[in-house]
Amino acid sequence: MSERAAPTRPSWFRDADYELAAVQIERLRPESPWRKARERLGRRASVRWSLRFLVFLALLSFLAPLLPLPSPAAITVAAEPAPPVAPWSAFGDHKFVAEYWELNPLDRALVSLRTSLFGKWRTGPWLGTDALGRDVLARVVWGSRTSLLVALCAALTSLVIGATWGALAGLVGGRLDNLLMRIVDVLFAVPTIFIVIFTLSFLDTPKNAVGQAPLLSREQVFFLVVGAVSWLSMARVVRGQVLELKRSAFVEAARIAGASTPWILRVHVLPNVLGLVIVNLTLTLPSVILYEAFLSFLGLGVEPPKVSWGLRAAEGAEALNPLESYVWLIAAPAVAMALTLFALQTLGDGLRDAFGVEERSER
Amino acid sequence: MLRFLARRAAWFALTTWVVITLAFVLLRAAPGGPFSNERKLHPSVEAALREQYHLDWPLWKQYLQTLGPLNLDERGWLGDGAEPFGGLLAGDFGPSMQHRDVSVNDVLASSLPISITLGSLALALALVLGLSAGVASAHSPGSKLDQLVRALATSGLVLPNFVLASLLVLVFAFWIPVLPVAGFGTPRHLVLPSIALALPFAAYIARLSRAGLLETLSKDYIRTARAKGASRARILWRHALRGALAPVVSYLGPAAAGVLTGSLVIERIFAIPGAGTHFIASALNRDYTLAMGVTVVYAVLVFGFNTLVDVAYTLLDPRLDLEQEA
Amino acid sequence: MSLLEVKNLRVRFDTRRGPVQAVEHVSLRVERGELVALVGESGSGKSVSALALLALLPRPPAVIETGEAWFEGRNLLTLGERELRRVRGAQIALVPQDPNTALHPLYTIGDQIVEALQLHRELSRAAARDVAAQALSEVGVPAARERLDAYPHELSGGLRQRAMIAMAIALEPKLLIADEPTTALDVTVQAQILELLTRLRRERDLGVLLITHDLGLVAQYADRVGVMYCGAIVESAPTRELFRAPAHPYTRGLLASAKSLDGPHGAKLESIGGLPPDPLAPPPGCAFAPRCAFAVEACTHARPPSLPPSGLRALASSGVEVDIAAERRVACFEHERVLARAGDPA
Repeated sequence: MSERAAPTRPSWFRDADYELAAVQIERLRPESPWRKARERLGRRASVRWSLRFLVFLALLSFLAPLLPLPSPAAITVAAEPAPPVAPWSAFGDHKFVAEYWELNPLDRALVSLRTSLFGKWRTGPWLGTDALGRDVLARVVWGSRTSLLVALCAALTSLVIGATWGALAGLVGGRLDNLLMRIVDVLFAVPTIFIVIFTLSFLDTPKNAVGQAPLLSREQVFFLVVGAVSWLSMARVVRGQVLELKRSAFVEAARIAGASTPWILRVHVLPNVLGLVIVNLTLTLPSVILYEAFLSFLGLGVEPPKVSWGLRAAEGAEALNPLESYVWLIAAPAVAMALTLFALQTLGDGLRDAFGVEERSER
Repeated sequence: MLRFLARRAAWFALTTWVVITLAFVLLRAAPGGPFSNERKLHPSVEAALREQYHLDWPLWKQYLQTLGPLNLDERGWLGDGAEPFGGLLAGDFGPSMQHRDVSVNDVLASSLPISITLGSLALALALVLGLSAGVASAHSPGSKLDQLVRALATSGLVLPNFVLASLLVLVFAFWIPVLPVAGFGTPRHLVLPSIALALPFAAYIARLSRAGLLETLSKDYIRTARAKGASRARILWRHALRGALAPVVSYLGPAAAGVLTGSLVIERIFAIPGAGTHFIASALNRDYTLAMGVTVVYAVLVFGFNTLVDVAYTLLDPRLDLEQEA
Repeated sequence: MSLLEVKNLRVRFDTRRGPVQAVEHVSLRVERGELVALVGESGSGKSVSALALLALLPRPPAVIETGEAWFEGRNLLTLGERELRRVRGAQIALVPQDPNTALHPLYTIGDQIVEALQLHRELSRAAARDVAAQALSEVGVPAARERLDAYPHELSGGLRQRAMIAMAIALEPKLLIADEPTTALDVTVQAQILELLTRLRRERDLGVLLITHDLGLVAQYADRVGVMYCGAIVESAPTRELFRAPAHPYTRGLLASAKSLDGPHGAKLESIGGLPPDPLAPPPGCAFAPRCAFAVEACTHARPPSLPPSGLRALASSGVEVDIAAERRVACFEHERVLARAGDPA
């Protein structure tokens, strides 16, 4: 029994005549819902470009240590922020200094590969430098790593906790469902920003305190906390969808036809829930990145010399003053963030159309 | 309605209790204490301070003291002039641990009205701006105006609010010195901060109302209205908007919470002496009482607002029943 | 002069998948006090034709290619929006298909009827409410005055439809377009609604264009019938004549399948084999030819024009009771053979 997803009916036209005509057209062209989703996804140019941009960004971000950029952590003391210089005026120089924070083995390998490839050559200050002489382009590129990683980790955490929670509640139902959802309701009502700030300042060991090494690094907790805060809406959404599917006609029909529960789960429930989950994920990523920026501004994000887009933008915002507006300091990370978030949103919208999910407001 | 309110009150009690307990645990769990950040205090001074703030008591006792409503301080019971009641349940947030001559209640009383004014202004602005943009957009979908509105709305959603604030500051304070940038005093001081705070929410409301309107406009009852001879404008304002308002109204709850969160940043950028500024300092300085105070007040505000939104929501749609509220 | 005269209406939809000719060719007439039924299956274009008259189709994607719709000496299809607004509701009223979705869920039915009244007449709210209450009681809604303050979801389906009809007739229009007014209702209510429409028709000399797919209703209440298939009227005739002697194979098939429901136990249910054609790729020639038992070579080459049928005289002389003077039209090359079978059992 193959199910056919309903044909896309343009929202502006509701005449029953056309509806049936479209159904008849559909009948003559069977397609699996995944193929249809893929086809619909590729239809809009903006969605295609968004996807390409994001892939490009991910690659750039991953290969950052390999690129012939200046070191993002190399400080020139007592320097003033220098404005961007066009690539054709200052293409590069040979003053590369391999100064980084503590890198993991893979990154170290990439860095040594870089030095063997490019030697001491590095790009010029195409996006300018900040008050500590650090190259803005390098910091933005390296910053993408943190921002994207935080977003991904948070999204995955919210997926793992939230989706499981919601699916469990929806599938099992009854008292367990009630309990699980009550907890979600209470946590929803708690202003999470306070919990986040408390938890993060909890790890901000005061300078005077006698050395107590925290269990997890600030960064790790940061990732976890942001994720732990965003799973609630995923749980609700997944539960809602699972419940709807449980009661849906085609699941009932499958049962009548004698299908087993695992089969129903695999063939009917999973693809439908997965679509919703993917859409939700791509739409929560932007909010997580913004959240990270927000926390960085408050000084609770990653610490220098490490960098994220949020931190870079926050530093840029702090540097604004009426005498010398160092626009590029804040413009560069802002533009990077805006482009990425825009791409994510476009992709999310495209996915939503492709999977036929309705736009729900946050509740 | 009464049953609804009763149930809400129960929820409120539960949620507030969770907030208080969570805050208490997290604050106390941090290494160091309220006095470890300062210049080294003489041990006896520090001991006296600790005793004054009951930090030498066992944790469970501190918890009960914080909660109230009874003041467990024996000195009170001994008729030393201290109150028999205290703690949060009695409405007393205690003395601030950093600003030692001041009680938290006083700090809140001076800073909270400012924050609430800013927040309400921002929320109202967001609603007005967002709805107008959404209606203008839906009136002629696909037109240049629509595209402009959508572009603006998107930019409001992809930039962190401090970037937007910085942009506003750059344009309206530095390049065109029209409005003041920092401080608080005159209504003019509130213009830039409230706009900056409102922008992301206005953008989302514009998006929501546009989508809601477009969907409502395709419904059958709109066609009935047209068949009756109603004009486009009338249909938009009287028929479609009411139906499309629902998602916007239900967004107001999370929006209020978001405004609260955003105000932490905005207050810092524009140097506004609101409760948010105090909050961050208190969290970082381990000022337990002040941090607790701000948290609880904010939680109450958000909850109250959410309840109002729920009531408004059911007023909007006569098909809903408050009794069915989960 | 006829109340409504539609000539050569053609409506096209420009969809994402290509153009769809929703209405190929429709010409019809409605006189005062007459109930004309437009019958056809889903997708035949009957609703689209009716909606096109009042410019209620979303344009784009709908495009009215050609056609005239004469009403009170004016061509509706050339009227500007402002003029049309004056016609809508007051001169020509629409009773839409589904009363469950056609009424605004957030306003009381009283408010909605009052709005209709106040849009066209200078009435105070109180006066309008009086008229509304009267309209409601005229359509048979009990406790009309109280019902004014009821929300649509508080009423049953039948009452909702009555409320819609009340809203439609409150302004005393000259023509009523009823788009499948009974489809969403159960059978007992259906009869009541149609009785109501008939009564109103008689009392007010109201012209009614009834759009339906229910042959039973047509047989009982319509004065004249137009049968639509794939966007064109393939046959039109007075009701009795149509049922007695159908001239188009499609009509014949429809009647046969309806009659077979009352057939003897164990007899096969008649149906018209095949499916309606893909609207994106209509067949050349007659749209019904692929499914037609009477089709010949010529049918696949050209669309048959709509003409008065010949062969009625011959039929009459063979003993079948037909009115040879009746005004009829049929679009079929082989209609004489169809007519000749008129006397046969189904």
